Amino acid sequence: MNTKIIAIAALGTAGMLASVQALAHHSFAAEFDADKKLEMTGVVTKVEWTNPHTYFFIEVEGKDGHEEWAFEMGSPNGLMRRGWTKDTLEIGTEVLVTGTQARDGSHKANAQAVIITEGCKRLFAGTSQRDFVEDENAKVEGCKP
Amino acid sequence: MFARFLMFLACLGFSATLLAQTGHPAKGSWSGNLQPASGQSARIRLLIDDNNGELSGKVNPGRNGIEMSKVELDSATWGLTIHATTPEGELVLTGTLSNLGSWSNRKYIGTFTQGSAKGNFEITLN
Repeated sequence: MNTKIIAIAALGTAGMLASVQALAHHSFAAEFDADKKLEMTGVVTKVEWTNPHTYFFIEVEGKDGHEEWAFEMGSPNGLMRRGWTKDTLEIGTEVLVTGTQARDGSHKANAQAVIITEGCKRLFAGTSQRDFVEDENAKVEGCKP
Repeated sequence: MFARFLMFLACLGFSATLLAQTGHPAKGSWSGNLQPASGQSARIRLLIDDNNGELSGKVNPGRNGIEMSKVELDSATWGLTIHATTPEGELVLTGTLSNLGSWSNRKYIGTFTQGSAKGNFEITLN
């Protein structure tokens, strides 16, 4: 009897802990529209190194004043393999981001590449969009070398 | 044995909550507007850090960020005062932190002086 209770309790706890990450994991197509391409320049206001996705937030000048946009990237591990470090995006850094917008039209997007405008450093964002090709030789545009 | 096991599970469950309870209330990246008594509002960003209760930070962090010369928090009233020397003159923000329980809508609201300009500000934790 005791063994059964322990097993049920352990399973329940494991399920609760796993649910936090499961909620954050989703397919690209379920949340983002590959046809809603966007490119914008803004200032980094927050970075969250979380699994399964890293997020950063930028402030951009929109039609009605300042807007905040959230960009989803790959996992911290995947980003580090692409040359990212925890200090790559410091608060206040101006970046140019390319990506695709959320299907619901909110200020949320999936980032493909991030260009740090000062110095033109480009880093790929580990997008989960399967047909996106990380072309290291593609010209970096829209920055100040 | 069973009771110990249950306590272990409970500790595991609470650990996630505990992780979220860290940090100084003023620490973080803030964005908002300075609204002078006359004239257009100006965007302002703050980056505040905490080193064992000692606060420091930058105004408009980035390439042209300006180091804060003094950051003082009165924990009895949550009054926060920030000084920084900007090209437009000495900037002094005097305000109060509110909505401290919120991670998404914590506010720093008050009045400012910058050189000869005076006005109000409202800044939100990013």
